[in-house]
Amino acid sequence: MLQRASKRPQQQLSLWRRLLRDRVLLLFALPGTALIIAFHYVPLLGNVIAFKDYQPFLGITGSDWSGWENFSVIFNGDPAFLRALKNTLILTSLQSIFVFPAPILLALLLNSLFSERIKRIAQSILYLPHFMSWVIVVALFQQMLGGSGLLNNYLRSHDLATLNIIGNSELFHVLLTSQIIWKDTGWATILFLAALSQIDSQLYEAASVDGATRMRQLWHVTLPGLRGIIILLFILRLGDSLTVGFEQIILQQQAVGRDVSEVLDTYVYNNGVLGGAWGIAAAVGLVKGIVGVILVLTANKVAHIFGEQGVYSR
Amino acid sequence: MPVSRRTFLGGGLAAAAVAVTGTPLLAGCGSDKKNTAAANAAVKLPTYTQYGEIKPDLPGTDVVLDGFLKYPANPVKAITEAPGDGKPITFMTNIPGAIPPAVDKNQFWQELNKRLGSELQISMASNDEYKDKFATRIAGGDLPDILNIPPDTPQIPGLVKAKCMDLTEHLSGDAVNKYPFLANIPAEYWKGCVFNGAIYGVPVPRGMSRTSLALYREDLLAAKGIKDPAPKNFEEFFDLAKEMTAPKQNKWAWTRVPLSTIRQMLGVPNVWKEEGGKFTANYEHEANQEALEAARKMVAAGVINPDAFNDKASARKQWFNGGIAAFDYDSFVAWNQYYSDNTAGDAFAVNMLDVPGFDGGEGSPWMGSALNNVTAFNKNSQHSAETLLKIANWMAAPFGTEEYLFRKFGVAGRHYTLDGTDPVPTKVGVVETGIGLQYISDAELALYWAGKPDVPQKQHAIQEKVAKRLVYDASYGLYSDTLSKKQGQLTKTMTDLEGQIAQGKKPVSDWAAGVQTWKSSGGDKIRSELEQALSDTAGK
Amino acid sequence: MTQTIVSRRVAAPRKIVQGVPMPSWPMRAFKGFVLLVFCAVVIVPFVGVISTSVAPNKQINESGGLVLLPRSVSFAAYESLFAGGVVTRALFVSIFVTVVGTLLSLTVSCLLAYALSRPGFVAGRLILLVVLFSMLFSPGIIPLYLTVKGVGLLDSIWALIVPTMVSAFNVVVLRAFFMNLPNEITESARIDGAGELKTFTYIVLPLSKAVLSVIGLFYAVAYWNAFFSALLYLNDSKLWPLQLVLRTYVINDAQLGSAELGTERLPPQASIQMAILVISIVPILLVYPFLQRHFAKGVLTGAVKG
Repeated sequence: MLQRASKRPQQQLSLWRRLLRDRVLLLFALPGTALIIAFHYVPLLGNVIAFKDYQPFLGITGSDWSGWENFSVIFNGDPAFLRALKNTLILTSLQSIFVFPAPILLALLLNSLFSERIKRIAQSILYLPHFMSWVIVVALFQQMLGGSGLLNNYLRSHDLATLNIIGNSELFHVLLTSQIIWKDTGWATILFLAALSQIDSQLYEAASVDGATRMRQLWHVTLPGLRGIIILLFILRLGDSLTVGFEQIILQQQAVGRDVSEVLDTYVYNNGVLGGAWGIAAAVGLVKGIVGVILVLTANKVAHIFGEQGVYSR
Repeated sequence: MPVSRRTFLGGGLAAAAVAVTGTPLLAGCGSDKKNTAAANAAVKLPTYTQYGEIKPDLPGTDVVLDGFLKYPANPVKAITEAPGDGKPITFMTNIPGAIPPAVDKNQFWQELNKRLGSELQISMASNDEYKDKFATRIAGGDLPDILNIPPDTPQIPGLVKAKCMDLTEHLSGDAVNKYPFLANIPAEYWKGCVFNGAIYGVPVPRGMSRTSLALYREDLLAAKGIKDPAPKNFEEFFDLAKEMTAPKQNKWAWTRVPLSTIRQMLGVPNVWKEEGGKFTANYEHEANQEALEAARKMVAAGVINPDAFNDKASARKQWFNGGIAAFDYDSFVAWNQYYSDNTAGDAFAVNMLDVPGFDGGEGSPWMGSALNNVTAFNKNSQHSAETLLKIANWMAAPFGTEEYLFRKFGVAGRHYTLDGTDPVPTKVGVVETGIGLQYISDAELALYWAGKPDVPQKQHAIQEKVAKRLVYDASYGLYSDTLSKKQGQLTKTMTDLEGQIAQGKKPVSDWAAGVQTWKSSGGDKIRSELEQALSDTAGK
Repeated sequence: MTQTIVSRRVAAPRKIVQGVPMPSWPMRAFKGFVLLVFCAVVIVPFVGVISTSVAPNKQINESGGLVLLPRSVSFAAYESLFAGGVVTRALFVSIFVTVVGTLLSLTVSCLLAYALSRPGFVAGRLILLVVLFSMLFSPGIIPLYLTVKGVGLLDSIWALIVPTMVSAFNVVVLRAFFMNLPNEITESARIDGAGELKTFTYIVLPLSKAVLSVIGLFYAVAYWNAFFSALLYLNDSKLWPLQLVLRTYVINDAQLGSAELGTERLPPQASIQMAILVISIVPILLVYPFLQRHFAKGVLTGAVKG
């Protein structure tokens, strides 16, 4: 449980005095903040090219202004854009429902194992796919499940009907989600396992003394202990919700066609970056960011209403 | 009259190229000229002077490449003085393979620097990432002396005008004779280097070597009793594929849908066709419906590898090399590459099919794209244009010269051993020589394969067969702003549609609607810009 | 008086889970089965990866790219990767960047996260928002390049470390974990007159071993896997990290003919690709077990009671 931070006695100190009081903390925060500002916010100024017809050889200042033209691709009802938006929303929903909880469940499973050694070995195995690049993951899936892959070769040589998995447009969203689960679940459990280890084991002992079964312990000790981090991660994920993958999708787009595979990021790539239209990419990035801000702020507010800390609180 | 590389657009243009007199262009005021086709046509291209010292075993023509059965015994040392000026020269390029050892550990590179007389510092990126690196270097303003510009880079005229040297006075007409190996590059390739009414770069020619046809595993077909296959129409072509398909043994005839071959059978143009001043695109040709229907039939019959649509070159290579597929659609360069990667042993043999007409007769194969890239020089370079051109000239020494032998194979003993007169690369040779010199400039590909004289013979034969029927892309040499900005995305959309129709996921009737969308999203604009460009030049 | 707070492992007997009698046999079997399935789904392709990296080229081509049981073992792919010393040098570069980068990142991030976790910190809200919103908007590669150029980091190995030293996500997570520590501990330290630095070093950090290991691992993996920044900022391939060098062995083009290799004869793509994967994972496999023990339970037990 995230504990309410106890506030220091509210003295009516002036700003200057408070700065002086917290000077050590300010020093602590200085390098990190300076780095973020220097390498994140300063280059963000470059996003002004969203309003320009940017050509690299002319430079940012030398390129002509184009007003809202780069944004028109979003707002002019282009069916290709709407299709990309729809796919993005579908995928982000699938990911929120299936991909997000998977590591939590797996962490709980691992946590309740009775042997430390098995737990560690299982962990070490499960995180391996995280290190494979999408190129390899897609290639592996293809080689195992593809039309000429191991599974189908086996079925075919035994006169069984083959399964159309990889090139199947209807299954594509499911395939994408499964790939992400396969690749990243093991790795994502690390954070939850760390959170689980922070739960005071005396709470468990107290609960079992009170006669709680494993189920009730799960409900009353474990889950509440994870609640804070789960909410935090979910809100952060919301901020990124319009990003559902790029490399993974581009690698497989050709087979299943754009109707099911085009998402915002691939749309921007196919219609912008390919032709050197950097301005469009910047414009869409800005819009995605603004949507993300709205989602995060809203979700954080909702979390507050439920009495949670969320990402930050007043 | 036979189409030759030099009289590309029907003879009128090259002959009408107006000699540039007077000072305006010579004074480098090319930068003031706009990129109109008229201005570009007015530029006198470098005079082609064939380098006559090397006699090929299989002589080529304007179209067919020269072939060599073995490497000449005593290679001519063609260049006597080192081209460099002693100061380091920087170059940025993509590298198609693995990154080679850095110069301090690379004997080939060290020897190269000695021969050049200047240290060559190369900044590399792999093919996939080159575009990003290119854009950031340009945006950052710190360009290298020599620059590899991919032909599909957007806004090339603006780019070269802002950042690159105008080379017209050094290369136009007879001025190129100072650089005999650049003069050895036919004028056709130079056309792609003209922008804003001036010559801005040196070509890296590809042309015929990039022409793609149906490759097949000669040994696999022979094992089934098929020798010298020559299907006379689509049906026979289709039957051939069915013969080589055996799904139960994991064998499918084709690595990808041969839509291009079918289109060539039906006479669909090579990207753009021009007739009487009017341009038609390949997508608009009426035979597309038939082509797509035929492709769909092939997919439905199961002669295409079920994973073909994932379109990964490495997968295709594996299938073709491993005997899982018997046919592939690719170029002469790929042909060589298959030999280099082959694991099937000595029996491995590759050949190419000619294109028949769909219902008989002869098909119209497409000429490969002319340039791999344009190599330009940085306007703010510390080196003179002469030095950089001398370097490019050095890089263009043709097959049979001692320079070529060194450039491609390295130092005898360490990087290759001689088998007779044929150089056979060693492991170290493979690793150290791949530093990207072929992108500064190059001679035309010579048909040759060490130790296997039958390969250039076969390649030469098929080239001779198709030479007269080759169809060219009419948009080459003409600049269209919309094409530069939108070609990539429009093509990708249409390819996506083709894939869906071929797989049967969308009906063939969807094609017409797709073409309409293509037209309204830019196709019509490109057409009108090309027509404008052409009419501008016709006046000259 | 004050006792030094030390994290003690609770001497929990291994076989009993959380003080409750062991779960029933069917439950254990079920859990075991689920776990086995997960592990199998991961391990089988991975076995394929290793097998393919040592399988003979012929077999790889014949089976279409993935081999589960190699007919014979050959290390040609590994030899070819390490020939010429390019990969070896890149390996050292990567190790340097990862070790130095992770240490710096952890230091800077922990300091920042700690400051942000202190209630009443005057600039806390503002800086937190700054950190938070940097996650939502990403700068384009060209402006970022211009910035890195502007501070003079081009062609320096520090270009691989400094721009990415702070990850907003990691800072936010660290902050949450720091805030989760029981207040009584830090309060009693304050009462005893410890300043922020002492509190941070002697109290908060030792209690945060789990999250420090995790975030350290996250940073380390990020540095280890990074390649794009090296591509853009480093023109001399001598300074290239491992992942970037390894990427160049993999040709992703759709056009075979555009590779223009000429004389180059590499072993087939698949075995090299797989060998690359194996090489890039081995260091993580070596490091991870050492960090795993810090995820152990009970780090906090008894700390409050003192």
